[in-house]
Amino acid sequence: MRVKVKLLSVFAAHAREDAEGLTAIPEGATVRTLAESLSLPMELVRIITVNGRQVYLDEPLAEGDCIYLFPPALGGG
Amino acid sequence: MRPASVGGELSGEHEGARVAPRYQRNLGSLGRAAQGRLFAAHILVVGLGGLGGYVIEQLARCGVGQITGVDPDVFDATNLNRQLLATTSTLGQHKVAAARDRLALVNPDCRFCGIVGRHPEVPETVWAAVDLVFDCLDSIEDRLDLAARCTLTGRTLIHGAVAGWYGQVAVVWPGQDTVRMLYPQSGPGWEQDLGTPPFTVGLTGSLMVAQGIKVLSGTASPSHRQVDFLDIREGRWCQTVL
Repeated sequence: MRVKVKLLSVFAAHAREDAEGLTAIPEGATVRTLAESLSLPMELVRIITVNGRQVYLDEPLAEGDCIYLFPPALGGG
Repeated sequence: MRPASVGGELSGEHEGARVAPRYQRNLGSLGRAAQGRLFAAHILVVGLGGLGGYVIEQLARCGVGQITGVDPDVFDATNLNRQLLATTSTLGQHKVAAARDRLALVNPDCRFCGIVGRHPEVPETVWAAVDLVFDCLDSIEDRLDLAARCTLTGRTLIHGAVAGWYGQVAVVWPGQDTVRMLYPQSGPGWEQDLGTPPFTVGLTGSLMVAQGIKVLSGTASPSHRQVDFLDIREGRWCQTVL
């Protein structure tokens, strides 16, 4: 199945070039499967939304889902 | 807000009132009514490091009537690359004291009250008086606690954070749990690895002020949990609803 991936913040710089956009993943894949396949630093995958709803790593994905992945910044400058 | 009389000459409905020259270049973008609201506003700024320094500087230049600033720390040499209030003259000085001195130079019409401490030490009388709160903190626990206090007191919170080339800003309207959604897990930030360059701090702090000015002037309307993400490295500004 194919899902749409949007990477924000430092993930956009660290992921492989074709990570964003439509991505093919196996049936039954979860957000964790997807993030690992994109070679994202898993310890920083803290905010995930699927179709605008916040979810966690074990959320199962479905055909056509739109997934945002990003690590929140924390520093006060 | 109190009547619009602090720091400028606007009064009443602001129509036809004279505006001090220092605010004239605000009017074309902000408008006279908004300028009057700023004169009357009391803002709580929690954290006077990088973001907080830019935030109070711009709030004072915009004409905000009163600022309460909170920070327990003193400046050290590692602050010099990005913190507006950190200079070779203020090293070792409390950030609150440097803020007071800076605002006295920038705009003596802006009254500044400093609290050397953390935000739980802000008196209830201040919470009752403030119109808007800025979150310029640097720990998840403190940010969550400040957001909870804003919810409790019905105050709108302007959240900002930075790491490396990246910044994020959110207007958190009373009752929204945006900050908790941003930090679903505790853990260290990743700015330790990426550092904190000055341009990210300046840009993010400026966006925080712009959002705050829109809230104070009544031109921003409560929205869903929107967060603005700034990616300066790639030149992207992404608005996401959590």
